[in-house]
Amino acid sequence: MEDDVAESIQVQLKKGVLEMCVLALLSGGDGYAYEIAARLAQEIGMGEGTIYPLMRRMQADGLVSTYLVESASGPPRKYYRLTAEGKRTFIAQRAEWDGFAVAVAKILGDKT
Amino acid sequence: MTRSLFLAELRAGLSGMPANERNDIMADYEAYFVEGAAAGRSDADVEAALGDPARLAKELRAEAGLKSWEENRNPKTFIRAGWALIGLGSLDVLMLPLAFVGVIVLGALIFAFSIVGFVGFSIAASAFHAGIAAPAMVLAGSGLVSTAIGGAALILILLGLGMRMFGSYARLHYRLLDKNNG
Repeated sequence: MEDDVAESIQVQLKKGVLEMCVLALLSGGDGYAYEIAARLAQEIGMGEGTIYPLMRRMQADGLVSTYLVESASGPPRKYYRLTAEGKRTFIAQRAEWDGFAVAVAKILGDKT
Repeated sequence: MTRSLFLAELRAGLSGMPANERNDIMADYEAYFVEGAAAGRSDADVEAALGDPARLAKELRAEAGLKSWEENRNPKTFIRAGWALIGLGSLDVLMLPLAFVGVIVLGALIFAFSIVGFVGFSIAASAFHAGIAAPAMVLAGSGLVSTAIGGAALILILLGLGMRMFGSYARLHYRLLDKNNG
């Protein structure tokens, strides 16, 4: 039961920050889905299949745009790039996250 | 499951979606396998990481349904989005009563504003019909009709808000986020 709670808190936390993580990765340079998903799967345990529903939603929300790059081997690769709106959103979310993280750390620190 | 079986299941799960959207999604997942293979992973490994194709299809449908509703609000896209969200299995004990209350309130609003509109229209029409110069009646009638039109706009706004909330709530049910729960 306690494990269940811990696991569900983790899942909810991840869901909340996933979009911000994608924004962060793309703010460092354009990327393609496989690369983004592999990184998020490795570091925060995201299921890789989720990457496309997530990227489609972010595209629908105007946070990212796509372009194709021909590749020597295989089909053209679809790259994602942050839009101006995406950049603004990342800056805002990041500021909020930093403030939140500091506040939580402070509360946790008080209790130990 | 083989790569082609995975893709076939995904395609089957996306049936009914506009062909261009579906092809777009299929191309995405095909590319994912190609990238995985280029990175030295086996198809079985990539499949396991992607999760259950039927479940994936449901989440993609929910995203597509919400998008079509946001872009073009009409009864058809409303039903598409609502149906896709329900298909996600996101109506649970918490949401069901809320959705129920929402539907009742909306129904009552639509009923009330229709009555107001109808009464207004009848008053205005009868004033004209009687041929009497009854400015008060005409004014009252058109006032009521305008109220009804305003009410309809309000209902549309509420529908938009409701679908948006339902959408964000449903997204919390994306199970594939957890790779152990694919």
